[in-house]
Amino acid sequence: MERRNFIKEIGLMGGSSLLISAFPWLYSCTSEAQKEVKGEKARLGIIGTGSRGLYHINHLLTLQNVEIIAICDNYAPHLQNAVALCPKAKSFSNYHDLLELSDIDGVLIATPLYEHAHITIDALKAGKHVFCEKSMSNTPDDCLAMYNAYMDSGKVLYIGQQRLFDPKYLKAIEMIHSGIIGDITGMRCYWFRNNDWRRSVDHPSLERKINWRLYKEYSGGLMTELATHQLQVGNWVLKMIPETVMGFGDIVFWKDGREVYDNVSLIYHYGNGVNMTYESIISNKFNGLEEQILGHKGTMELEKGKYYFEDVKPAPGILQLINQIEHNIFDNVAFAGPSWVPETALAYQGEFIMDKVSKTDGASSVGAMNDGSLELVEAFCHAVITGKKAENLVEEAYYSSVLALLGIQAMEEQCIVKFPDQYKIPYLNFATS
Amino acid sequence: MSYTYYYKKSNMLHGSLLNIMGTGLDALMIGKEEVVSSVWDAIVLEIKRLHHMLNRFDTSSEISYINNNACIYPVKVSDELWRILLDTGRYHQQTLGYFDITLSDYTRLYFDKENHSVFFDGYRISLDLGGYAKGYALKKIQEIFLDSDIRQALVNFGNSSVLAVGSHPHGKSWNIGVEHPFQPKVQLKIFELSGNSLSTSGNTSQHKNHIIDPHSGVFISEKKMVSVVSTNCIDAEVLTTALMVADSESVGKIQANFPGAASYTFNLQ
Repeated sequence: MERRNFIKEIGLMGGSSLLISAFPWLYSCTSEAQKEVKGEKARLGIIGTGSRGLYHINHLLTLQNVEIIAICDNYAPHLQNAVALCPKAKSFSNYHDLLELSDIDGVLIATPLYEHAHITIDALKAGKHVFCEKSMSNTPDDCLAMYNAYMDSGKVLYIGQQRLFDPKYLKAIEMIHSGIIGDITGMRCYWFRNNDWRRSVDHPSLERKINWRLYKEYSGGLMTELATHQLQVGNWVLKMIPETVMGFGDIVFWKDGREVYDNVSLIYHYGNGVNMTYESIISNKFNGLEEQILGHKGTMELEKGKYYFEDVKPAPGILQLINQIEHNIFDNVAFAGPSWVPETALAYQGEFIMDKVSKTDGASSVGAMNDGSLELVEAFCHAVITGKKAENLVEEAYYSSVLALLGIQAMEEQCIVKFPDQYKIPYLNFATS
Repeated sequence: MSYTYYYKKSNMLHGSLLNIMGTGLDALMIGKEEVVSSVWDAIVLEIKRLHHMLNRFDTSSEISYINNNACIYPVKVSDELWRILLDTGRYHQQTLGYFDITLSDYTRLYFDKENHSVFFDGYRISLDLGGYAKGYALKKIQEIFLDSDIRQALVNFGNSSVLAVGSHPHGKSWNIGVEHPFQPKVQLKIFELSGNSLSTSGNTSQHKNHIIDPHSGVFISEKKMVSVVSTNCIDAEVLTTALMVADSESVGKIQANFPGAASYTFNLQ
């Protein structure tokens, strides 16, 4: 498989040093970092080989700097699927046995949500670097315990928030922070689907094991499985964590014995007065999925990879020049040519963030193409070799996980939930409180 | 519609004005926010005023009034437009007739220098300042900059006319590339502009038959493009149009009349 030149593709201004100051967790993706790991291999164990685990394994098999030493799943058919892909790897049904292998440097955890915390903590304590899928956990206490275990361990922790590695998101966030859509006045995040979110089950006794997403004991439903990605984007845009949340959740349509909501509407309120609304309904797909960032000069739709100006569209080239000047860069800009005729307002379809934007309809519960997941696991493999942490990544993931859980609390208790002090970790506006 | 945004870190105002003289205008100006904001307001007022005066498609413009009436009787012209019309006459001569605001037959245009009136003497010709207006507008903007002591600015008038004042904040000039109209991302040439303007004329895939040879009345269909750099915005504007249509013999003669302008012809066949 032809590897994409990730940093180059983003085409951010000013090359890698400015890139790293804005997005420090991308260090492992730079060419300098790639030289550091040349010829070396991260020796990994995979814990959880269901659909998402296989998705990661397929990515890992395309990479040079990694070797899958062991695989583990306590559900035999899933383990068999992974054995077929990694015939040389040792296979286990109990993750404790895998953690005892001394020739494993890191583990990748893609289990159901309720198993994230204890496996991550055990792995860190066993001296392994850890990649754990998002959300971090199904309780705020466990999220905090994971964070503390990470801080105490000195090991690398990655959480699967792949938007932090998605070229169109990185470019869009850079543009938003450069002021292109003006002051941020509101954010609307939503994820709509029309399917029951069920997996087929061979025997009724396996219902909870396979359809763990539908039961509160194992999952927070839409909030922990979908919303965490999008809540993270809101915090990333505002460089702030919201202070309060309120909302309603119900089972409106899929009354099939599930326990988690199929319909949620929440408002996250930030200290500067901005609200981020969050909606998810899985019995209507008209709106698809989007994070819509509203500014007083324009609107950014990160999932579509498009932006729109409120009034007029500057001529092409001028924005490039502005971006250079804002980044203290002197370079050529090519826009001169025969006279340019602007689109009229009615025909205005917005601008694309990048030349090539990969889009998804959000219907898959496994993963989409080119959404940053590959870059994320590749960066993790580099970090496993170098032992260098991904700055800010765990903090971003921690807050999006806790915010999803506080949202569930607000809906269940039908009250306004203020961000509890005991769950604040030192980051952004909560750094000193 | 006008848009502005002040980039505090760079002390830079970006102003954008859409649907003006058939295109859009973008300006970047370095300076204190209150200063550059009021300069932008002055630019918007001035460009809207010129748009109204010089637009032959606007039925209430002065140029429309002339076009509708000068075939019947000599029409008296305002002082500013009179100076503009005399100026276009001088350019007509210096470009060997290739720059022609009648687009057809300049001999039908009579100037009464005593009364400041123009007359078409029964002929239905129509004056078109399209190849002049943007250059004139940039010259006016240049004067506004001079009056308000703006020393670093870049104005892009619909890509075809670019005015550079001083330099890019992090360089010695404003480096503006000319793009290949049929092959996006191919740069034909990079101009290092400072204290001058760049004008470009040519056919594009969306914009085919829009440049006419006044001597033959035929649209130019050749795939070529002409760029001119000059300290005089109007010279640059007028020359690109003239050199697009001039025959090979005339090109050198026209260029000799504009020693301060550098012209570049790009053959895009």
